[in-house]
This record gives sequence, C-alpha cells and structure tokens, in this order.
Amino acid sequence: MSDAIGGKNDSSRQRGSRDQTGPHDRGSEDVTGEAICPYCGVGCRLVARARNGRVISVRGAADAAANHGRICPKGATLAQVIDTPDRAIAPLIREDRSRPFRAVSWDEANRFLADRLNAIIAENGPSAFGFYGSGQLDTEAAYCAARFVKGGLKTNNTDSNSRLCMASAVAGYRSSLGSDGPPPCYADIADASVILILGSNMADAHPVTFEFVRAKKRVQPETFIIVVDPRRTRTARFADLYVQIRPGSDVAFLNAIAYFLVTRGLIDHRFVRESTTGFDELADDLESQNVRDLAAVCGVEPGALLTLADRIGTAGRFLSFYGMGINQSAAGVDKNNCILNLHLITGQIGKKGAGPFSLTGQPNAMGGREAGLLRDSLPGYRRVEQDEDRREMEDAWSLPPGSIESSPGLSAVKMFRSLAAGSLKAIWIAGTNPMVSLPDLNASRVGLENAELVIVQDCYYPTETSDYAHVILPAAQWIEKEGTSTNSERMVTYSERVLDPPGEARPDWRIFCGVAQSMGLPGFDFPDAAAVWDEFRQLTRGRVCDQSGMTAARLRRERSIQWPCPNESGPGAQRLYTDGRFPTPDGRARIFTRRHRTPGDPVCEQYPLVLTTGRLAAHWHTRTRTRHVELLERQEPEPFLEINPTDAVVRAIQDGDIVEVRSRRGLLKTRARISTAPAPGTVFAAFHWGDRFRVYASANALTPAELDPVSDQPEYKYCAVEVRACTIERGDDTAAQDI
Amino acid sequence: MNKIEQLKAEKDGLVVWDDLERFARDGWESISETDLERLKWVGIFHRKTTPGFFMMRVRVTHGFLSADQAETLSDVARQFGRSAVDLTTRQQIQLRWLTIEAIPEALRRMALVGLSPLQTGMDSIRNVVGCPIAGIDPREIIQTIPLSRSITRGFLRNSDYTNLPRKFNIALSGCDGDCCHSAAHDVGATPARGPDGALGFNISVGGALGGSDPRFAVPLNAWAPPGRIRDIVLAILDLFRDHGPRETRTRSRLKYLIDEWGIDRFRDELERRLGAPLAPAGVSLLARHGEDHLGIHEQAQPGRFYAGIYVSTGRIGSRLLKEAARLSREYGAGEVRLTTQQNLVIPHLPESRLSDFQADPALNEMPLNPSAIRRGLVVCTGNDFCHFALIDTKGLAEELVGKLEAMEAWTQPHRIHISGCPHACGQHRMGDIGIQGARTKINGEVVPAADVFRRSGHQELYQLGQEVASRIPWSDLPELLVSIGREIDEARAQPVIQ
Repeated sequence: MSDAIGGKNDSSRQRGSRDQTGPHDRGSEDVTGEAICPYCGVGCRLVARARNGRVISVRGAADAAANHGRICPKGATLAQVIDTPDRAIAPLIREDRSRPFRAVSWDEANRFLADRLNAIIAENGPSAFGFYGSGQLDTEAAYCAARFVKGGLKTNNTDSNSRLCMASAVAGYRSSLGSDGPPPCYADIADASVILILGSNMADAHPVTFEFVRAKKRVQPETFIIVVDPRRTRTARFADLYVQIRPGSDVAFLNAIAYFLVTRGLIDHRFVRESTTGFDELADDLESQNVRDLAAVCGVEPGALLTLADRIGTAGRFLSFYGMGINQSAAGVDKNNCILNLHLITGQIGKKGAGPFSLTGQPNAMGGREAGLLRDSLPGYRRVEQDEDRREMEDAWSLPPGSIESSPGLSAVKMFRSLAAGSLKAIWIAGTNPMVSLPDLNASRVGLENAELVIVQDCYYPTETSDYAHVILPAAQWIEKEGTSTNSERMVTYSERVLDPPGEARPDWRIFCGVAQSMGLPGFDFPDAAAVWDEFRQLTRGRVCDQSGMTAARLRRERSIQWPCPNESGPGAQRLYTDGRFPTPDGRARIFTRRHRTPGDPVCEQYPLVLTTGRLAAHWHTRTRTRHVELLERQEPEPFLEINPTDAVVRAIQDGDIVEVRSRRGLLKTRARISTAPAPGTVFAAFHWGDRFRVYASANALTPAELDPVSDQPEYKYCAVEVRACTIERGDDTAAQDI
Repeated sequence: MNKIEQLKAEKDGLVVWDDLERFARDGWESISETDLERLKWVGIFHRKTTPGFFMMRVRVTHGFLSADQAETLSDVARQFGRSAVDLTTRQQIQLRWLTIEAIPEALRRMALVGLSPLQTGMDSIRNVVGCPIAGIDPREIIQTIPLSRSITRGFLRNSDYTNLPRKFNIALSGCDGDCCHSAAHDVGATPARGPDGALGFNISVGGALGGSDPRFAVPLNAWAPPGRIRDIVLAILDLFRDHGPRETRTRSRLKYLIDEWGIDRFRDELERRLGAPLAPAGVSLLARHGEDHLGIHEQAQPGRFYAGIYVSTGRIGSRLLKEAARLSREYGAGEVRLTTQQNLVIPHLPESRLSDFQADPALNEMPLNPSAIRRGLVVCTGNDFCHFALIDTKGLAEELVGKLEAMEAWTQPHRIHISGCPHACGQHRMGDIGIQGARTKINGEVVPAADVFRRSGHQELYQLGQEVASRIPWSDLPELLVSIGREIDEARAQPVIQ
C-alpha cells in the first residue's frame, strides 16, 4: 500500500483564496462561515474561522436551535482534522489489488468507473452492483447517489451505514406512526416533566443535547430523569432513577411498563380511542403474561418497574430519548414499536414537552432517509414497494414506467454477504469505513476480498476499508463544500463552504454526477449544490418530510428550517402529529403487540458473558477524524474492555491487564478496565478501533451477524463471549503495542 | 342537591387516590367525612361497625384471576387483613380489617400483579361480570372476556366516568346459559343472531334489583356485533352521566332515566350519541339460565376439564384462597375464576390429572359437589362489617343450611339467596328462595328474622321472587323453607306454559 501517492503530504497548498465560490475567503483576512458539525446527529451549527486557508477556531453558533452556542470537545477540535497527512487528494486506481495505486485525473477515474460498471452490469445485471453510503453524506450527495443508482443504474442495492444505526428506528416509526421522522424537537426538553433515556449514553454520544437535559434539571429540579441501560454510563449516573436491565431485554422491560400503565389505568383514554388502533390487543396480551416473568427477563425488581411506570403514567409531559441500545439489535424494530406504544397509550406525542425522540447517530442520517438512500426508500420518504411512489419518481426523473425496481435492494450487511457469495460483484463505499464498523468483521472482510470492484470514496486515505479498494475517490469534507443536512429534530441546515478542498477532492454529489455523466446518464448536469437541492426539495412536496418551502436561496439566508415546511413564506413545524392524526390509511397510529425474543447469540458455558458494544465521548465512529486530535486521543488512547469486578476476580484479571475476548466468530485483544458500570455477566467494549490501530483491536471481530428480521439492522449489543487474561505480563505497555 | 352530588361537585371521587399516602401517614381519624365517602370511589370503605378498619373491594374483571393474583390477595389479607377474604356476586374479592396505614403497601403489592380496587364503590362502573367459563365453555357462542376487559379499560381511571348519577352494573353473557343474570344489571348483553346471521349480542338496559323497586332490565331492541359493544356501553354511560336523574339517591339508577324518557326515546338518544343507527334486536340464542358450574365439566378444549368448587357463603379466607391458587398451579394452568355465585372455577385440568385433583385434600373444604341445599347458596356480607345489614347473614346462613341438610330438606337444588337488607347484595329476589334480613322480638328480645321470597317458576325464567312471609324469626326458618321447597318442586312439576 502506498500512502505517499494518495495521502496528502503537502501542507503548504493554498486553498480557496482565489476561488469565487469560496464566498468568505479573502486572502489573509480572517473569514468565517457556518456549517453543521460533521460528527453526531445533534446537528450543532458551528462557526469556523479561517485564516490563510486554515481553520483557526471553531465555536458554536449562538442562534442555532440545536446547540445555542454550545459545542462539545469533538466539535471544538475540528480544526485539527482538516489539514491532516492522510487526506485523500487525488483519484487513485489499481486494476489489481496486488499492484500499487496510481493517481489519475477525474476524467480518467470517471471513464474507468463507467467502463467497469457498464461491463459488470452488462454481464451480471444491475443487481451485481451495490452502493454503500453514509449518514455523513449531505442531502445533495445522498440524493444524487439515490438517483444515480436507483434511477440510473436501476438497482435498489443502495444502502447506507444508517442501516447500522437508524434502520430500526425508521422501521419503527413507519410501522407505528405511518412514516419515518421523529415527532418532537429539542425545545421539548425544556417543557418535559419526565425524561426517559433508553439505550443511549447521551452524555457521551450526544453531549450537547444532554447539556440541555442537565440544564433543564438545574433549572427545574423536579424534572424526573430515568435512564435505562445495561451499563451504568455517565448518562446513567445523572439519572434520578437508573434501571440496569439485562442486555437484550428491552422488549420485556417496555412491556412491563406498558402492563402497569394499562392495569393502573394510566392511559390517555381519548387519545387511545380516537388516534390509535391495537390497544386492546396489546393490553390483552400483556394481561395474559406474568409481569414477574417480564421483570425476571430484565433482571429488575417488579417494584422498580411499577415505580417507573407510575412516573411515566402520571407525567404531565413525557419525553423519551433512545439510541443505539434500542436500534442496534436483532429485535430493534420491536423495541422501537414498544417505545412508541408507551407514547401512544399515554397520548404523549404531538404536544409540547412530549414525544418519542429517536436520537440520530450521524449528522445527516436523517437527510439520507429523506433523500431515498436506504434500500427500500425513494426521495421524500417514498417507498420502492409502493407503485404510486415509484411512478412519481419515474416521472420526476423522466424514466420510462417500470424503470425503478419494485423490491428493496440489499441491505448493508447483506451486500457484504452477497459479495462473498459472488452474487454481488462491485461495491461503491462512500463516507464510511465498514472494515471497522460492520459486525462479524472476519466474515464481512471475505466479501471485500472476493469483490471484483471495490470503490472507496472518502475524505481520508488510507482507512481499513481502502486497503481493499480498486479505486479511491477523494471527497471534500465539512467546510470544504456547501451542502444541506437534517439533524435529529428535523432541522434542515445549510452548511457554507469556507475553504477549498485539498488537491482534487470534490463534494460527494459531484463525484456521483461525474460518473453518472460518464456513463451517459441524463439529468446529472447540476451546475451547483443549490440546483441539486432545489430538485430534491420539490420532490418532498406533500410528503411527511415536506421541505418544498425551503428554497436553496431561503436556506442560504435563514440557514436552518425545520420540516415539514411546505410554504416558501411560512415557518417550519416544531412537532409532528399535533392534531392526533397520523399518515396511515385510517389516520390512526398503530399500537403493536410485541414479545421478548431471546437474542440469537446465546451465552453458554464456553461463552458465558454478554458483550455489549458502544461509543466513547472522545471518539467518533472509526476514528478517521478523532485520531488526529491529541486532546481526544489522550482521553481514550486505546481500546479497552469494561468488566465487572465479580467477573474479573474469577478470571484472575486485574485492572490494566491485557485480555483476550473471544466470541464464536473472532478475537479481541485489549486492556481490561475493571468497573462496576456493567453488571456482573456483562462486558463492554467500544467499537472505534480497527486493524490500522493494531491487529485484534476491533470489537466488531466479535459481534454476531444476526439481523433484525424487519429492518436488517445488525445486533451489536448482545454477543456471547469469554474473557481471559493474556499470558503477556501485566502492565507491559510495549507488549500491549505488539499484540 | 343531595349530599353525595354536592361531594362529587366539590371534588372528584378518584382524587383521593393521590391522597392515600398522606392519609396513611396522618391516620384514619385525619380523614374528613367527605373524603371517607370519596375513598369508596377508589374501593376503600371505612366500616362504621369496625371503626378505624377498612374493607377493600378488589376489581377482578370478569372474575378472571391468575394464581399469582390470588396468592397476592391471600398474602395481603393474611398480613394486613386478619386473613378475611370474601367472594362477591360481582366476581370480586373483598378484603377486610385493613388499617389506613397498611393500605399503600397493600395496594402496591396488588398493583404488582395488576390488581386494584379502583372504582368499585359509589357512583362508579362496577365490576364487569361475565361467564366464569368464558373461553373454555363447549357451549360458548362468543368469548366475552376480551370485551369485559376492553370496556373496563375504557372507564378505569377515566375521569369521564367517575361522576355518574349512581352506580352502574354491566354483565356480558357469551353462552346460551346467562349464568351472570344479565337482566339484573344496568346493561346486559346476551348472545343473539343479528342481520345476515352474524353473531353478536342483544342488549337490555335498566336492570337493578336493590331497593324498594327491583326490576329486570328491559330489552333495548338493539343488536350489535362484538366489536361495537364497548362503544355502545360507553355511549349508554355518556347518556346516563349527562341526563340521568340526580336529585334523589334512591331514584337515580339508569332505570329511572328510562322511566323518564321511555325506552324508544332512550334508544333514539343512544343512536344519536353513537352517530350511527342500531340494528333491531336479533334472534336470542339463550336456552338456559342459571347454571352454577359446580363439579367437573368438559371444556371446549379436548382433553381439558374445569372444576367448579364450592366456597360456603363466599367466605373463602386467606388460607383457602391460597389453596385454590395452589390447585390451579398444581393441576391446571395457574388460573382461578370467580363465579357470580361466590364460588370458584379451576380450568384447564388435563384428563390425566383429574383423579389426583379430585383426591386433593383441599376439596374437603371446597367441595366439588356440595349438597343440593348448599350449592345454590348466595349470601351478602352481613352486619359483621356492613352497617346496613340487619343480621349476620353469613353466620346465620351457615347455621341455616346445616339444619336444612340435617332435615334433608330437598334433593333438587334450590338457590337460596340471602341479603341482610333491602339493598339486595345477595340478590335475594333472584333466588328460588330469597331471604331478606330483618329483626323481630320474641318475648321482648330482639332476634334475627327474615322476610322470605319465593320464585316458583322454572329456574331458567327471569322472574322476581315474591314475598311469602315476613319477620319470621330465624329459628323458625328451617321448617318454613322445607315447605316452600316442596311448593316450588310441585310448581315446577307442572308443564311450563310459554
């Protein structure tokens, strides 16, 4: 692998000073611009100040609804991740993975890709190609990719890493409420009386939003904060009531709460009667169960569940936040349905201070969902299975009827399985690093090894994934491009371009359009990002995620507008479903009856512990950015395994020991951190580290490839493992580096 | 405005639910007279006969109790309520001797198994009753447990239904036997074939047996499919709440609204509330009336049986309730059903376990087949705990049936229903022989006595007992009942003319 060719090593390169599209950069004068933070889904608007083509400071935008001027350590240190030695700066090609890359022009790269894709599709059909994108892509990019692959190449094999974080939330909202889209907004924190945080370590993963929760508690100490998590996280330590449930028991837990709400009559009778269906079926099913059994599944005293249900049932305003603990599960959709059940039976939705708030993981996972990037979606929350929806898109894209496939394409994990099986030949990976983030990495790796063509589009090079690439496409990032993103609360934010991208790097949407045009596909000759946006937003007219009133010009003026916003002169809406009507055929939300299922990677004598994975405050995803920030690296310099003292003692493991963690699929070697955060029987590892950090550093070598049957989202939170101390001497740091 | 209406207007009955912790902290004497009344809305009754002690009436929808629930109630009674547990004619359970201090913990434990006493007293919708063998009855036409539960969920803790003019009773019959006496309730539903032969219910309204003016319900001339029953019942409740007479407590039940409007207008108003027309009454599928379910019977499920076991006067007590739960776990499926005759049904006994079950010593105290004299016995609480009752009904009933058994009074079962006062909690006008408690003097000494009623018509007919004797000293009752029993037998030997 030759880093010198693709990686950026020329830091003296001038950026933007004479670029007319860089509106603020005027030579050596300081310029500022606003852009949404590229990390989590909170969607903080940040103000970047640049001088001489470099970012010199980043602060929170004071008037931004998402952050009111606040910023977290990751956002505050963004300046350090732009000008790094490993930026991808030129298209690279190698016909054969045994040979080195060669830098090529965009024209050559586009021609090469057009030829290769045409050949593969001619030989194997369009379904031999798969596009695997990301919640990092802005809406313009997600839209162009969706149009290119679904409308141009005519395969629905397009998915994004949102499949790994939000797919179950999408399926949950769709099935229960009739459409994707979180109903509440951040401002609801201030009005809530009970806040339930489930399966989310907000304090670490969504720090700025959590700051609002803290502030609310400070101002109104009577606010009751409930945290439910198998691990006593920083978020949990802040709670008024912390419930440590067993990993994988969320459905039983939520059903127990619903049981108490129902049997105690703590329901919104009118709302249930007028705005929902399925209540009695749920209630009958709950009453046919023994709540003690449910409590036993969760490992929680029934009394604690009763107290909690009473809190929720008597809350004036009940707001819930939930994250990966809910979604990243083989029962993720069921868990989402069960959370939504709680809000539906108590009528705590569509009003101030209330609602089910699914926390998005990435800055534009929401926008990708809106733009039709997921395997079963089309722009404007349309569905590939819906005849009407396909017809509308075929019209919009001037395609003959029947052009768009009517069945969903391959989901993320299944793409890699299909590569391994040989039914998928080519994959285009954009803005994500699956060789760290996919579950069951060893099996996923076989897919990439077996692929005929691997295209990796990223702003960094090399990554664990680029090691398998035939083609590297350099992407502009953050303030190097203009674009639009939607955050967790449906706030659409326009990000300005402050700097020029390094070298040949381009905005993602331009990269897609370039290849599409090389393939002779019409409709990809957008002059600029605004033109892409204006095409997309008009396709949302009349849809739940209506952004048709947000013209490119208006967004550039107002910066942030919340959808739905159907009128060019009207404001966006803070909340969805305020009238108690839902976008289902009968206008009612669905209350679903769900039962706990035993997770598919069960503990046994050989693998007696449950590993649950997660993220840390100091890092982001696969560390492609955060590893460049000394402050963050100092905070979390290496992978570790959290293990309860009870489990450590019987294995003769001491704090700081190097341990081997084995599952049925793989091995993780890491340092033990003895902690009471996980209960006995549960261990925790963050998934941020990959092979480029060191071998056996990936928690995802262990995780199972079990998928939710509805959403195809993988299970990352329940993995049977055994842990044992390594033979390497304790505390020997050099040995640790060697493993 | 009468006192109760005033009280309701001042503060809703259910509001005291949130005051219980405070009451428990400050002691029962801190509770105001009006809040003591309001406590009845949440099912907690201060008993004037035992100052400082409370009765709690636990709602058991459709009489369906899990073994867990039965055990919890048994434990609560043992720990906080001197082990007293009674079964009621509304398929509920009453605990006694509770102090206000014990109530929050008792409620918490009950809540853990999904039980509460909410809205079991005063102007509330009382327990929805139905066939105790719903879902297991081979002759069942429509399973009514889901309907009972759906209706209950519709009003439980729903402030739309906590200020009714008076109490409100609902019964749903799903088989051809109507063992829950649907016509004795404010709303009754019985199976019927509607338009196009669809299965559903005929609805009757305005039944109420208490007081000086006992009446069976009148047909509404309306049929509805099962899926509409809940909405119809709630709409009748809406009418009752908004238009029911509230001036006089003794003339506030639904039947008086129907008197005022006439049944046709009542039906019209109901249709208006529903916003949709009601189908006319369908063809009734009732064929029998008043089965007691005692003994071993085949279920609808092949190879499964249910056992009806007799609890004398409904006074089961903590120990026997736990025994019933044990029986249900050991031989059945952990399920105990309560009947409107104050007995129990243990369902889901596999054929292979029947002989073991029948040999279980617990059945010595709760027999499968009590004598013909005992098996139809229904008895209200009595003056131990109820200040309305003029006599100790449960104690005197035991003494009475003992004597009748010794006299071999009759061999065909006759239902004996005993109430301690005219409120008719023992539904004495429904019995073949009805007894209403009274007092009389013998040699200047006040002794318990009885007004005696008789239904000589066939058991299956809806017919109110007629008074045949009054103020009979209790000690003279056995002789009289023997002769009344014979009269009934003779009358029933006549062919039934319909």
